[in-house]
This record gives sequence, structure tokens and C-alpha cells, in this order.
Amino acid sequence: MKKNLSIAVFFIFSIFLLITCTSCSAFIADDTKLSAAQMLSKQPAPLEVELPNPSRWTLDNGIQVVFLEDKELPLIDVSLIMRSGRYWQPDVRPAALPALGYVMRTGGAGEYSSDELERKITELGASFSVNFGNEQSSISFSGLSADISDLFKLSRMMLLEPRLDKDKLALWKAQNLENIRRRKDNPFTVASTSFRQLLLGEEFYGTVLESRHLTEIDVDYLQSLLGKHIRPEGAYLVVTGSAEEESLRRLTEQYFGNWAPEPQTIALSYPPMRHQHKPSIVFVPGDYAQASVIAGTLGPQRLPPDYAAIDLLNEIVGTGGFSSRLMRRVREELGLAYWIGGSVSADNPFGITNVALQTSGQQVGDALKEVFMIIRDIQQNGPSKEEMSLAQSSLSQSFVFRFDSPAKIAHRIVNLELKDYPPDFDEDYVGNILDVEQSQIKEAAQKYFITPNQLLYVVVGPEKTWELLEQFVADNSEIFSGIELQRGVFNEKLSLAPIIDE
Amino acid sequence: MLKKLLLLFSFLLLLTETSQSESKFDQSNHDLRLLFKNVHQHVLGNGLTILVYPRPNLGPVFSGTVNVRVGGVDEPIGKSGIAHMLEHMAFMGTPEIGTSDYVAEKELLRSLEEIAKEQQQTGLLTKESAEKWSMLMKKLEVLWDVPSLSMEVEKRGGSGLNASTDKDLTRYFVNLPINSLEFWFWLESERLFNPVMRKFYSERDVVLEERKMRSEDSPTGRLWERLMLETFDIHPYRHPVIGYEADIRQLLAEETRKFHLQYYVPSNMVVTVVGNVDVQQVFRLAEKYFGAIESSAAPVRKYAVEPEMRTSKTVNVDFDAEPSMAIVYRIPAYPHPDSAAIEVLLELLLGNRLTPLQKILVEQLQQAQSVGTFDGPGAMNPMAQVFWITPRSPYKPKEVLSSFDGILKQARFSENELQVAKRSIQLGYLSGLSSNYAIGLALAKSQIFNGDWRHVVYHYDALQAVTLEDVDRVLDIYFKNKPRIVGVVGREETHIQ
Repeated sequence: MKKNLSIAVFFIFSIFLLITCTSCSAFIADDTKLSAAQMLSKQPAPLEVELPNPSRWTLDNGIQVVFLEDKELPLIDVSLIMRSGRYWQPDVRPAALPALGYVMRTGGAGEYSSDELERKITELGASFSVNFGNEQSSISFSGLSADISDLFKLSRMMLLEPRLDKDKLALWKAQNLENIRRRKDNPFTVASTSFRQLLLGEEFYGTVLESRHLTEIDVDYLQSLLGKHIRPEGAYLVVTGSAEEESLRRLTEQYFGNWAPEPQTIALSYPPMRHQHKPSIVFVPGDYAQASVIAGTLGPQRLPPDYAAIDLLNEIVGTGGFSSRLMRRVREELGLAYWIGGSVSADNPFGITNVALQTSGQQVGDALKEVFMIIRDIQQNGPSKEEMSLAQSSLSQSFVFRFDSPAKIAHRIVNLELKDYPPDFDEDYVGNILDVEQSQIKEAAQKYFITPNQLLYVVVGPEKTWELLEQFVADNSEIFSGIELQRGVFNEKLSLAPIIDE
Repeated sequence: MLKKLLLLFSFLLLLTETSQSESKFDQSNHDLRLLFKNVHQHVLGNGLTILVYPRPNLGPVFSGTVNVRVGGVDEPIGKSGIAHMLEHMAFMGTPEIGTSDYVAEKELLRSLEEIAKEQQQTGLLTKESAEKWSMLMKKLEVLWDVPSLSMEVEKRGGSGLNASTDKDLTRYFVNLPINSLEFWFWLESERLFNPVMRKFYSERDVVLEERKMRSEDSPTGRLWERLMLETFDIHPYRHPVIGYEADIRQLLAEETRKFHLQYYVPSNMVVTVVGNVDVQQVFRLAEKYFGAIESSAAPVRKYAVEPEMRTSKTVNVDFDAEPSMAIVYRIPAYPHPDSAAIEVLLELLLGNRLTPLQKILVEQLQQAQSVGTFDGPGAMNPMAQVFWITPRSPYKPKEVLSSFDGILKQARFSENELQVAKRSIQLGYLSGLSSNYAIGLALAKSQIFNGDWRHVVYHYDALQAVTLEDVDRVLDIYFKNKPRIVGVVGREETHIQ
């Protein structure tokens, strides 16, 4: 059954149809150059897009295979995506899952030592990766189609018979120690790490990987996690590239079908978010030439009912390139920041809404004031008609890029299913974007960007910025009523200086 | 039905099916031959070259690039940064986009330029001139609407609208749905051949900020700038593309426009279109919009000839951050016969976890967090090979250097390792063919620097033909005990004493 996208977005996988398509006015036969006025007033012709459906089948143990053929190149790309991750096993020590991914990839498997496995992989010219995330974990590999059996064989070994070489674990620890040392060299890393710590709390969601966490894990501990984190229940195997479906069915069944699930119930529920962040301004001094600023708060959960209004709000305010309000005003017109961005981001169990920018230490106050004015204006007056029209056009015309290759199509289908999106989400998307009213964007701006005195601010910059910040807060006491200005120190993570009561 | 169509396609496209009996390594040459069938070339009467690579299995999108053979290497002394400024100007609009009254704007810009020239020549701005400047700027700001260029692209679903200026190449790129193909041709033919030096002086300030961010406030940026000055004594590759601060401050709109007229000529440009497009239609649009542009004399170039590097040097750059290290050698650029052997040598030295630099330096001795390599800074001679090393604490750069030298001294490779290196190169090329961006870049660079896009395949063939003897030979000639520049950026205690 063909899946059709309604409205102005259909997609035809056929060169013959493209040549004969008379409604596609992109193909202008006449040689007269259009004038600027004609070109700029012309609406792009509707795109015909009809998405191919991938082949799907289910293995004996419940893994769903999603295969979309792409014979352009003699390559194959495979990802096994499991419903496992840190969020479903909150007691796992912080360093464990990142380490596990690395050690599974590099530490040998089955009959092969670490070097022997590496040799096998390099002889195939293949690439492999193992990754444990928050809600999903995966093993992915790619290589020549001709080597597909070997690739499947190695991936199964890597997944189900990892050797967890202790030397590789030691190497991972040493390298991460170095990464932790270097964290403070990048002011934006300092800002974003601090921001997450303060917003989400260190109990769980905002935990920062520190050097002390590295000593908490050893090979035995990693071994104990395998059974819990490597499971076929609810998993997907996404395959794109050049392959024969018949042999692929055999291979998937042979290498992954007999992987028996351990009897266990999957309780996919998010750990509670107990941390209550306090609106405040935290300054972190360092030997940096510029100031990096992040201001924000928690955002909505995944797929809020007003998601279309949010997407447009984002486009208008901060993600729409040079024409977004933040870029236009703060960078283009006032030259206050070399880069600036902001968005409302929905996710589970919570999203994050923020504005981030980099500016000179002296201009932090000016830049922030402009940001407040931009947001207040949208909250009070909504977007202009031109802004609406540009954002709607931009989102609907660029929608096609989400499906512009077989790999993207297949991965998107699986991603949306894993996140429980409704099956007609893509079909309805453009229509929903075009249906949004200006008032809905105004409401979304009020709801998600809230007010300046409810936000959390992190400012990372040279020491002299502190005085300016103090002055800025004092001069704008009505905006910052109730918000404390504090100092912090960043080494591996942020530590707040104790506040001394006068 | 759809499946049958796809199968029909694949038959049409992959005219060389490899048989089962061929060894897997032999398959490589056939895959790249895809390019010979898929790339379509057309040269306009004015000398502009169009290269089209259709990919009918993609969605209705394309990537368009315009590539100009101009960069930092072409800048007159005292005018460093002018090519990059021009790149910025290309986003400010045209007589039709970005202004509400070009006729009025032109006059105001002319008056503004008089004052700018006066300041550059005398070094001062009189009170009267300063007031006049403010007045002109106020009037201009009313007429300007610069975001409208990127807005026109965004409105049509464009993504990745950007540009880059390198030592010898300036590129403009964007991805768009195919229903904006004609718009793209129109836009590029307007803005790249008729740019307005709009907001020149405030963009000059933006570029100064950019310079601060990339070169001055970044430890690796600072190291890079120093390295280039040391690696090349007289060749213009030594100067930063972003420009020196003093030069940037003195740049004028008029001379930038003159620089543009000199280099943005059709015979000096290559346009690539990669995606789900119809080749003939692309050629027709190219004729329609680029064809009308008058041909001009090709730019005359004369670069200082850089002598061979005769002595090694050490460079220490002070910066309050954990250290980074670089080792720079001089090598010949493709298509020199040794160039392919050097690339294969590098793949053998650090291309995967088992190669000696990775295995020994990173894993066993644990003196480096990571080691990588790239060539540059431009695409032509004189060329350098840069090894970039992130050292591991405790930082002992002399030891890192000593280990690095030891590894090079003892490097011996087997036939099997050579095959692995070639296989890795093969996969690299193949996966590049799944990226519109990579295809466009590879075709443009080969066309511009080697005179023929087919060098993408010839270069690949040269890599696959390299022998172990070639590898040993180039290791001796260009690296073992050869003069080099060694650089460290970090706090004083991490420097090479």
C-alpha cells in the first residue's frame, strides 16, 4: 500500500514521470530570462512526492526488520536499534554505558581478540559502532554489499559475545580523563554543562561525567549490564542499500532471529524529575575573550498538541537562519553577537527551552535586553503576517529534505515509531503548519518562553564581566526581581560559591 | 510497480554488474567508473563550466555550488582578507534584493566611499566627515533589507546556505527542492556577478570579530596561523585567509569590487549541480542565466616560488589551555607521481586502530589522545602535510616527538596491510558518492585544479596502483629525518624547551 502525503508534497521515484510531468512548472521550456520581479513573485510549483514503503518483516523473537532498497551504490547500511538506555535503568553508574559502547566496539568478540576483530573489520573496509543512549541503544555497521554475510556475522558477535577487554576499558578511562581535563578550555562547553547541571539537577538527569565516576566501573560491572541492556524486545533492524530481500530475510533470521529474549518485563517509564531548579544568574569566570550566555527553562514533553505552532515559533524567533528575529536584530542590526540562537525543544520526559549567544563581556547586558524585547514583542503582539508566511513557506518547502534519500526515509519511519508518533504524522505535518494562526504562536511564546525572572541564566566569561553583570542586574531590578546573582567555579563541572548573607 | 521501476533504473544506471567470480578488490575500479557515466559536462561560450551529476533515486532535491578559483593566495600585499570580504558581500544582496531603492543607494554608497577613502589615506576622520558618515548611514539603513537574500532562499525550503573562502578556492553552496532550480540559477547569476558592496563597513567589523573568534581566541587557530608563517617563507599561502587585523581595517569597498571584477569571471568558475535533476534542463538554465554573462580575460597570476624547506623549526605559542601539537612537512601536490603514494602511506600510518601511530602513540604509550593528518593549506604547490596531535597529560611534547620519529623510523608494512589501506580508500570514495556535497566538491576541485573532473577517477586509480616500494620510497624522501616545523600551543610548561 502506497503512503501518500497530502497537500503540496508528493514524491515520485521515477525519471519517466519527471520528464513527462506537465504540472511541474520547474521545467520551463522557454528561454526567456525571468526578471527579478517575476522571479521573486513566483511561487514554487508543488512537488510531487510519493514515498516508497519499505519491506517489513518480523523475526521469531519480535525484532522488526525495515528494509528499503537503494541500488545506487554497492553499499549496505544496517542499524539494530534497541529500546534500552540509561533512562530505563537509572541505577546504572554514570560512566558505564558510554564505556560499554566503546569496549563492545573495540574489545574483541567471540573467537576474536580485540586486534583480531579490528583486523577483520579493516580488511572488509567496514565501519562499526556501538552506542548506548538515553532511550535507545544501537549497533550499526556499513560496508560493501558483497560482504553482507560477514558483516552480519561480526555484528552478531560484537553484540552477543563481546569480550570486554580490560585494556580497552583502561584506555577508554584514560581518554575520558583527558576529555574531562579539557572541558574548561571551551567556554561554550562550560556554559552548556553548567546549564544542564543547574536546570536538571545532578541526581540523575543533569549528572556530569566526572573523573571519580571513571573509577567506579570495571569489566565485571560492565558484564553485569549486558543482559539488561541488550534485548530484542521492541527492537528494529533498519537496512538500506544494495541487497536482495530474499537473502536479507535469511541473514536477519539467521543472525538475529534466534537471539532469545530473556523473560523480563520492560518497564519503560522515566525516572521522576525531583529537582526543582531555581531561577538565578550564575557567572563562571575564566580566561576567555568572549562571554557565552545561555538563558532557559524546561520545555514541553514530546509531541505537544501545539507542536506546529512551536515549530513556527522556533523558525521565526531563533532557528530560521539569518531571517530569524534573534539573528536579524541582535547580530545583523546591532552587531551584538557573532552567533545567537534559541528554540523551544520538546522531548521526554521534559524538553528544554533556551536562548544562547556569544558576545563580548561588555555587551552581555545589552544583548540580553534585546533578547527580552524580542520575546516580549512576540508574546504581546505575535508574529507579523510576513514572518508567518515566510516561516510557513520555509517549513513546508523544506519538509521534503526529511525524505530525500532511502536511508533517511527508513530511519525516519523507525524513529517515529520508537517515539510513538501517530502513523499519519508526516502526512498531516504540512497541513498542520499551514493551519496555524498568528494568535497560536503568540500563545506558544507566552507559554514556553515565560518571563525573564523565571529563567535560569549561565554566563561564562572574563572576570571583568562580573561587575558589569552586577550593574546590569541592579539597573534592571524589575526584570530580575527575586533572582539571585551568583558566582560559580568550573573544573570538571560547576560548583557554586556559597552565598554569604550580608 | 514501484519496485519494478527501481529495478529498471538500477539496470540503466549500473551498466557494469560485477560477476560473482571477480575478487572483491577488483570491484573497486568499476564502482568509480560510475562517475564516467553519470557526470555530464557543458561549457558555455563565455568559458563557464557546468558539471551535473543526476541522482534519480533521491527525493526532489538538489545541491548547487558555484566555485571560483580565487582565495587568499591571490590577494595583493596589504590587502589580506579581501577575498573573504567578497564572500561576505555575496550575502548582502543585489540591486534587486536587499534594498528598496538601488538608484538612491548607489549614490549614497558612492559618497560613503569617498569618506572611507579619505580615512584610509589620511588616517583620520574630520568631525565634518564623521557627521556626514552618520547621516549617510542613517539614510542607507532605511533603504537596506539585507536578510532578504537568505530569506528568499529559506522561503523556498533552502538549507545549508553557506560559503567558504580557502587559500585558492571560494565556494557558494545551498540545498534546495528542485522546484527552485531556476530560482537558484537566477540568484547565483545575479549575486555572484553583480554583488553590491552593501554594508561593507559594518561587515568589516563582523569579520574582525570573526578573526578574533577563529584565530586569536582559539588556541588551535593561533597555532595554525603561526605554523603557516613558518612553513612558507615567501609564498602567499603563508598569509591567513581571514586576513591580518591591520589589513582588514584598511579594506575599501571599491577595491573589493575591483578584485571581484578581476576574478569572478566565467572562465574562472565551475558550477556543479548534484541531485534529482534533468541534465538537459540544467544545461538550458545554465545557458539562460550564466550564458548571458560576458566573458572576460582570465586572471593573470604570478606567485612567488617557495624554496625547499632546508631547516627544521620549533614554534611555541602561549595560550591558557591544555596543549595541542602539530608537525608539518612539505610534500608535492597531486598530480605529482609521489602524491598518491604519500596518501597511501598516511593511511598505513594512522588510518585505523591497528596502524602504528594509533596503536603505539595512542594506545600503547598513551602519549597522545588522538592523532590525525591532513594536507594543505591549499590545493596546489607548495603543499604541506600536517600531523595534528592532541597530547595526553602529563604533557611531554619532546617525548611525543621522539616516539613519533621512532614510529616513522621503524615503519614496515606488509602486502596485506597495503590491501587494507586501499580497501579503506575505496570505501571512502564510495561513501562519498552518497553525499551531494562531497560529489560536488570533488568534481569542482578536480575540474578547477587539475583541469578535468575525470581526475577524481584518475586520482583514485593512482591510489590503487601504489606499491609497497612506492610507500617506502616516499617515507624516505619526504618524512624520515626531513626538515619540518613542530608547533605547540598551550601554557609555558607544556612547550618544547
